[in-house]
Amino acid sequence: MGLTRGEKAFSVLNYLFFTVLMIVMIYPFWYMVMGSLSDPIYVADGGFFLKPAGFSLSAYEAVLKNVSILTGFRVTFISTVGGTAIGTFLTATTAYAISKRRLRGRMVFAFLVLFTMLFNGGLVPSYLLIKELNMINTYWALILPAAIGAWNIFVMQSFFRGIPEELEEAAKMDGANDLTVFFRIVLPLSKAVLATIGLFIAVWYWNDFFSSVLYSTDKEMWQLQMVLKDLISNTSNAIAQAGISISYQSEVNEFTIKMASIIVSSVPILLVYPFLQKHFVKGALIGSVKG
Amino acid sequence: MEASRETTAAVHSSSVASGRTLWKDLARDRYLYLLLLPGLFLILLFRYAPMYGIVIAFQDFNIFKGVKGSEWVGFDQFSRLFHSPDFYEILRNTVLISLYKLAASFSIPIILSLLLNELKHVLFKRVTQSIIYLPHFVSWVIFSGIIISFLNPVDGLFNMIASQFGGAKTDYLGSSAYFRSILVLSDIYKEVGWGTIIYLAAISGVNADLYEAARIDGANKGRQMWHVTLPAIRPVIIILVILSLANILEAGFQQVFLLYSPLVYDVGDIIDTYVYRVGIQEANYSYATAAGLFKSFVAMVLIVSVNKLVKMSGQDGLW
Amino acid sequence: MKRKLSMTAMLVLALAVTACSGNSGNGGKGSEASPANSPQAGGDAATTKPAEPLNISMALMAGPKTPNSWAEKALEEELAAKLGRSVNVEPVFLPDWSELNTKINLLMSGKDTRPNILWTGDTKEYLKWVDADIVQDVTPSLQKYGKEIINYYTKDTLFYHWDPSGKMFRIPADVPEASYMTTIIRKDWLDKLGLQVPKTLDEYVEALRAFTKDDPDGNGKNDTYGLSGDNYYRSLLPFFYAYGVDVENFIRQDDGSIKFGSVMPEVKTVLELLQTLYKEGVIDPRMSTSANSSDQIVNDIYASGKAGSFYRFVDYFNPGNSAAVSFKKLNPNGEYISIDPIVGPSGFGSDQPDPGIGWCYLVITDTTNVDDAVQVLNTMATPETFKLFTFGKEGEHYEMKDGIFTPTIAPDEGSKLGLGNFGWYIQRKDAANIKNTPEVTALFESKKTTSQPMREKIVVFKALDRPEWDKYSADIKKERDETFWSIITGKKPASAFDEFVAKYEKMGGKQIDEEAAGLLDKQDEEHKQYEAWYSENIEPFK
Repeated sequence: MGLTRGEKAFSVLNYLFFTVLMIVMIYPFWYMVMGSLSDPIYVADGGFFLKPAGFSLSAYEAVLKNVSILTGFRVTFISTVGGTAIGTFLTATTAYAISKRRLRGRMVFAFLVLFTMLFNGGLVPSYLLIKELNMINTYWALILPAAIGAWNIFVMQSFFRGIPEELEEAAKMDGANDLTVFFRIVLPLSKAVLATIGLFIAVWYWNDFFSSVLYSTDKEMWQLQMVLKDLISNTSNAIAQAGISISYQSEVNEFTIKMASIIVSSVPILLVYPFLQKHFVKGALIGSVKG
Repeated sequence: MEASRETTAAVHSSSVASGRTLWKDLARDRYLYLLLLPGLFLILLFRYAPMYGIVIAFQDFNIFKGVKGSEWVGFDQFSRLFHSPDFYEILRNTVLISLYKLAASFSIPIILSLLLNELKHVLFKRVTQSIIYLPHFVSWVIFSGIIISFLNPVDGLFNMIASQFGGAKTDYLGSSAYFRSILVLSDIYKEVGWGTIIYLAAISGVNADLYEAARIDGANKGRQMWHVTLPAIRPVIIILVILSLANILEAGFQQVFLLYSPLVYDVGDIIDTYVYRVGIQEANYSYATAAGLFKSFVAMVLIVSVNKLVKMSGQDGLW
Repeated sequence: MKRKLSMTAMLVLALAVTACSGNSGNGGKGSEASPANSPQAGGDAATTKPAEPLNISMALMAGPKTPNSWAEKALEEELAAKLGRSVNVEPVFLPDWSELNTKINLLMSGKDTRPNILWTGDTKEYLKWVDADIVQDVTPSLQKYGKEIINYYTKDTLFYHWDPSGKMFRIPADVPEASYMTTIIRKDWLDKLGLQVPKTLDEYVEALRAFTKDDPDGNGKNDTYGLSGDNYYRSLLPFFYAYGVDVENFIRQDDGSIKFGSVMPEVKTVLELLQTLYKEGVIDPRMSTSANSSDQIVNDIYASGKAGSFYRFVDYFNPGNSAAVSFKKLNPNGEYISIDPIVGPSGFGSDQPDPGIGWCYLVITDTTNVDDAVQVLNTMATPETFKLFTFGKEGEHYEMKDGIFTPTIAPDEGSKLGLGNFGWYIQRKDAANIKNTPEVTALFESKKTTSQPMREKIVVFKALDRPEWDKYSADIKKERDETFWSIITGKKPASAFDEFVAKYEKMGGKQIDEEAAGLLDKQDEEHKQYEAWYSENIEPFK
């Protein structure tokens, strides 16, 4: 069964299209990498950074030698791993439960979830709650409040609904209860959505900085992005503001430091998706449903 | 079939049935409730316990007097917002910008996902997927810098090209005619690759047999996409569209703030940027909370209505 | 089964990891009321037994924010020596600018999270703190222990921090120099084009036009601008001040009344001039949009040498300034000089005066003994201690070669040492600020005089509570900015200014004007009281 001429042409165009798209999409990262490797003195000339302006590792030095960079990485790494595990799991359990139409009170629960997507009490009450719970400066404060989100729940719910009832029925007839069905049938079939939501949650935790503003008074519990933001604004203070003359950094340019800090902080998280891709396997349901 | 059995059960459970049926259902579904419990607990604790903060929008909030001690002003904050001189303008800008973005943010990723799905070469496909979402990771702080450098009237790429062809140099960022398009197009660029992830996940779940069947019936690729893939992922699309309505008044504060200037206030000033400038002056929590509440309320109304429409047409809604 | 096992394993791992990874417990370090201290929250004479150790927590915003740094230890040693007891400094590091106020508000909201000494920028919350009685009056302590502080700050500066009840609830932390910006121009371009250093507005405009049209960098391309800068009005200052107007402030009129600068008729003249210049391409078009909103970008333009004039920082003339360093590398033969303010048709010209209030200040909260806190601050204010925690030890971390400050350690070493952590805590701008070269110090001196004309005209309001201004100014500013920049870029005709002035009244301008006049009267009254208070309560203790 060969491809028609039309299909062949389409295929070629498709590959071409995506090649071009890749080049276009990768440009900002290229720009950032080139910018981060540039010599701060020459960066002023501007340009499109198809290659670095001069060459210097000073920006990476400044970032990697920052006093809090290691603690930042540690805090974010731990809260990301913990948060993703807890968050993905609890999102799945909640979504599965409310995806079942037979569940009493389902509408109420779903509405409760929806409401949180749109309304929230604000910073001050959230802060006061964490304080009340003695969770200031802990990982729990960075992980738990954000672990499950309405959007993720609804999306997972929609995927769970797409799993044919017959599979669950069959298992039940063999004596399985809801828990067994969930863990042995539904979850294995949901790799794609679990990987997707897991990725979304992981990226959220990785990029979060605001939780440490609210809940960490100790600088050693600052998340990575908070450390980097602080590094950048400290650099620009040192350079830019006249009467404020504390500056040891005479040969530093806020631009190169910004670039380096983005690269340093994104690389770990960018490596996650390629590893997850194998879960996006087509046809997971082949053969399990008859006609 | 099963569907009708489920609906009957649903009808049963939603009506105020006799106590016996209630307990029976609870017992039957006990494991489902068990699964629900931890997540629900977290939600109740971390989302609902602080929910009283919403009343700040109706007060003149003083953090030292707390919520109980702060003066009650009713709808004053809202009234102030609605009566501000440019309220119509900022509302219009907010709605237009977010509508454009919403429309683009679900249509384009779907098309891209369908096309991506057609790439047979596994490595190429994986590499492509991993690359086209890269802009999502570039924060607006950085990305706005890149946009500014491309569009700037002195040596930006666009202007350089224009002057090659003899055109005049335009200040795009300062032009009311271009500004909204810049916002929307740059947002598309940044998010479209990321948006394909969820659709690809959905597409990967489509039963391969269905494609076979369609092929045997003589459908070509286009027909297959239209008659097999799209209908199969329609439930996911619908859910995503409804969910995206939550952002109906969320035009993208960070992006606008970084790119706008007084020259384009008339087309680019949105609710959030306006409230921000007032807030700089006043440090008024209540005003900002009221504005947020207004946005949430509108979004809520919209979501509930659209969800109802969707269910009336026979599809599954959010609940 | 495998899936269940791996999920459970992940969950257990997550819980184990989060539980075991040491956290520093609740409440953070160092913000609790220290039990070792003597009674809190009172203006009573200190009854500290000298031998008891002192814990003092400080909110810090400046520098590399290094925990447990050398600078912290050095400061503790100095304090121990001066105060006669062991001192433990506990820094509370504040987040970056965009989250700063949120964090400060949260910290101040509960007694157990309040730092002993809070650093803050301008905030409306201050009045609430005074009302809630959580900040202490420092006057008695200053009298006893604050000699260095009251000698350093001028009487005028302290006025703005004085409460009419006869108390002072805050201390200025960083007061900029009297004027820290200046008109900067390319000397080598002037020479090349055969022009004199401009003194009048006409000469200045002529120079700017020449910079734009006559290819001063000789590269055959039409790529130079007369004027560049950021997109704030201060970058256009030479034009506005030549006519004696400042659009962001109230200006004293000849008849003794005050008027909001944005609606003074001279503004229209300036806008028309700027419109013409913009059309001719003399003004860098990036100034009008977000393109030039960041200091870094403007510094880069400065360094690239493509614009002939700026109104910017005196600090550029310090050889260590990064923009200056880049400029020298990219334009080895280029030279920028600072010139006196351009004078307008009526002979008036001025540099931008800093109001002398200080853009940040310190409050001492009700969580500590105010005498102790003032003693600490006073020690930090002395030139020796200031130099120590700002620059390090002479000989070890820097050298003074012919009076020029030369660091002998790399920047990241300085960060590790925590140099700069205690910045903006009684920041000295005098000789103790050894970073300035003698030339730059002299330049700052001269700016005091050159900024005097506008200093006399601009009204500085002491009152923090300005309800009418708060209510209407955001909308008025929006209208103003839209109008002014549209006129400058040619989007709207100059007559749009008249429309703006007409709108001003209706948009709350009338109320603002009345309130301003009232505040000024009250302020003048208060000043008289203050003079009396000062000569009784501060003068004798210097």
